[in-house]
Amino acid sequence: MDWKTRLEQLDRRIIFIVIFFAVLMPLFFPLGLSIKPGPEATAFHAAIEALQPGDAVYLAADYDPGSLPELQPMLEAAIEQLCRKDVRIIAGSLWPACPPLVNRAFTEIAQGRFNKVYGTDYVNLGFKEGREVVMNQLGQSIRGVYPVDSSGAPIADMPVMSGVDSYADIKLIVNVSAGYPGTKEWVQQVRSRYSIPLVAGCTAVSAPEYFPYFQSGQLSGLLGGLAGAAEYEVLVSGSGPAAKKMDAQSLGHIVIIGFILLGNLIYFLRSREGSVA
Amino acid sequence: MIQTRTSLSARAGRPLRLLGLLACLALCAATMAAAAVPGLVVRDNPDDAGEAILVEWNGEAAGDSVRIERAESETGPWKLRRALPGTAGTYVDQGEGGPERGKTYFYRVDGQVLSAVPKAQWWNQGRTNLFLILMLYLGLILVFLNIARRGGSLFIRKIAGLDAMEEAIGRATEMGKPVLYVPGIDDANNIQTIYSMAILNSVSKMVAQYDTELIVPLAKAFVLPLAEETVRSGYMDVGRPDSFRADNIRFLSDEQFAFTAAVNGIMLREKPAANLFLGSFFAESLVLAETGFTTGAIQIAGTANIHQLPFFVVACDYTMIGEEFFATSAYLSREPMLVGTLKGGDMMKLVIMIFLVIAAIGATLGHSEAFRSLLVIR
Amino acid sequence: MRREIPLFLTIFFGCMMVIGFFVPHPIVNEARSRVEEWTIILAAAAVVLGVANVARIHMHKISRRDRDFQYSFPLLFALFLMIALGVVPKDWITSIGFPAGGTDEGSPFDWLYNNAYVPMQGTMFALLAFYIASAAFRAFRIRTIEAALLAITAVLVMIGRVPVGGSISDWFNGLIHVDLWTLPEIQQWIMDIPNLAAKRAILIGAALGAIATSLKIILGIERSAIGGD
Repeated sequence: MDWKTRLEQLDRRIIFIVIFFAVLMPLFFPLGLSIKPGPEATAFHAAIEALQPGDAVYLAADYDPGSLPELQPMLEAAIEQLCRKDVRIIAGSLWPACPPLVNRAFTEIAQGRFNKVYGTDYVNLGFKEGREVVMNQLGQSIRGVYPVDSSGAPIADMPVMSGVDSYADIKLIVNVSAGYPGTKEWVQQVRSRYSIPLVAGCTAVSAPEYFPYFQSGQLSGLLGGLAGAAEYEVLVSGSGPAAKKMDAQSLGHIVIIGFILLGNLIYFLRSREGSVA
Repeated sequence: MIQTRTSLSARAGRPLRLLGLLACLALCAATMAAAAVPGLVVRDNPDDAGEAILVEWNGEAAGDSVRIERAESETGPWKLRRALPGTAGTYVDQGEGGPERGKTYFYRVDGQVLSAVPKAQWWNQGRTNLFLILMLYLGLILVFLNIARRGGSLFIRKIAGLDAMEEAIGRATEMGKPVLYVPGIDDANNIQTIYSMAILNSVSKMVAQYDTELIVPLAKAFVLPLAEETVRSGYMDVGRPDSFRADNIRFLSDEQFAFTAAVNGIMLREKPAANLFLGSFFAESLVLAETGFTTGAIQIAGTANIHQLPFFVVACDYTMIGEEFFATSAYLSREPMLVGTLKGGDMMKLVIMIFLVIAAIGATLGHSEAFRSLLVIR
Repeated sequence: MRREIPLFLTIFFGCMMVIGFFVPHPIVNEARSRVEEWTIILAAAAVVLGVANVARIHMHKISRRDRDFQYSFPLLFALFLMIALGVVPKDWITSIGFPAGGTDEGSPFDWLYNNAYVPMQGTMFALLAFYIASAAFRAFRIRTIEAALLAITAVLVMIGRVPVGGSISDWFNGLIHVDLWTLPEIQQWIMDIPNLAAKRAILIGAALGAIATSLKIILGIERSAIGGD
């Protein structure tokens, strides 16, 4: 077997190993590449910046640990900006595995760094089965859908819920989503029906699908994948976990481009051999 | 209904007190004139269930801030509802502590008192445009349905992925291996999942005819009875109810990647010869399709989740894009009723294309707002 | 009747939801709201059905000694362990020495969630990066002009989406002292103009297909999804 055939039939495990090291190395030896926020992340930041102290925000966290590396930094940065703006955060989830991730972010950011008080400044309502139906029901009554929070405490007496019982009392919805139910459903079911401003963060894979919603104004801001999260972190605090991982992603992209070029080089040499023969 | 009830009264006493009072009144009047909110209107909020009142004013001419108070009688007691910047221009009083349907409410906005009664509407006028579009679409579907019923010939272009479906099942039969059918990871309320069940019905009939094993892994418990019933009825329709195995309709996990790992496990252990990925998929699409590629199965995918199409295109033998997926049952059955609805959809697309061209020309000539206002949905 | 009743229910509830979108009156709205509540209850009940299905299939597998039946043991163990840890009263768990019970922070459920479930999910999603690399190596062959356009666009977007794209552009523009379009700007243009145009077209087509299919099901034209012909 000549070298061209060997390369053509390259064992995919070799590709996997190269990718693994390309992603791993920058985590130990950062390249320090600069990150420039794009228009979508800037709009996301501006939408939260426009809130007034005391306003209520619904934080719709719809993902699971699978997309934690991409989406948790967005959630954390959003909570940080919301805490800085001194707004009340009401978080809910339509994905069963998400509430502990929200708790983790609240404990670390809201409570740990801003000394916010659970029940007064923020609340985690937890998971509710029902997908789009729940989105619509929240428009009628949040307390009707969630009589208790994720740990079973009644929400009616919590100061964070005072004067808030439906979308009419919410100033902005911040959605962080990994798929269904997620950003598309929030746009279709809530943004269109209740005309409430909505910003969203999603995985890189699904971001291109939501660009039309951002361009049409149905999304007031959009963060796509780790790159979007890193841009947003730069706007919120100058740096963060996603920004640090962008070096690894950069190198990963370069390696994939390298494999595309290699594949084509072999293909070109093979076709030249064919035409000579 | 709008009512304005601004009243002032004064009582005179001794001349000095009278003078003092007059001075006070003049001062109050001057203050009120300065604070009066220009263009103030209080009315029932339109297009709702009668649980909101709309307060509007001229935001450009208003002062720095506007204080909105509400009472159930003209004389109070007044309760502050909101203090807003003057530029806001509108306030909808609704939600927590909001107005009740049918009751009269008085609003005091920087001294001016107006009243309104919230009423429920029977029609949301802000959605009339959408209703008309829907009716047009329904009309087109019914017209083509009628044409199809009368035996009119309606052409459907070739869809390679659907032609390959029978071939893939045939190959699995020859090899004595199962067929894997994944109806996506969405729930039963997603139209793609429901439609995937319609395709599953056709696939199960084919599979039952060939007497091949059919494995249907599911990510949502709600889809389980639906899939079980669909496959069972497919087997019954071709007269092979005994070949149906309920254990092959498997709910695996509600969790995206736990489900993905389990389906990968099925592909690697049971080595199906044909993998059909038809439904709503997300990030798991490439993981599933690449694993299927390594097992050497024929792979046919179809989804309306456009962000997953590139992954299926690179890793599957055939991919049905967007509406091709929704054409499947009409294509496979050639039933006039279904083909008719498909043609109705095509005509609607033509209408949209014509509108887009006209709107693009209109926007270029500076009338974009007129076209935009036609499509705003409240 | 086996097919007529589901068909009637589909038509009735389908029409009710459509009408509810256009009629805001409380009579219609409250009926729709009630139906939505039923959906939540049904969805929650279906989870029980799903768990029963998993248990049944794997118990059958064990009892019949099917191929790879031994893997069913850890599956059933993990399934019932997580259910048990989530539903038993909190004080039972704290009474045996754990700091918290239920799904609270510090509970065994929480510990398993953070130390078993989270890494396993993350690993599965991370596989995507490896599969993308191997699929790109295999699929992006420049066989035609269209394939060349696709590969060039893919490379521009991939490099422009990450910070290294900006760094390369800045370095290059500095080198030639000309203010050319940067890679992130080119990437943004590709995503905003040609990508969006194509995506919108497919989106409109798919949405029309979805509406037509919904109408077909609501009007009873498409019956195979509810077990009809």
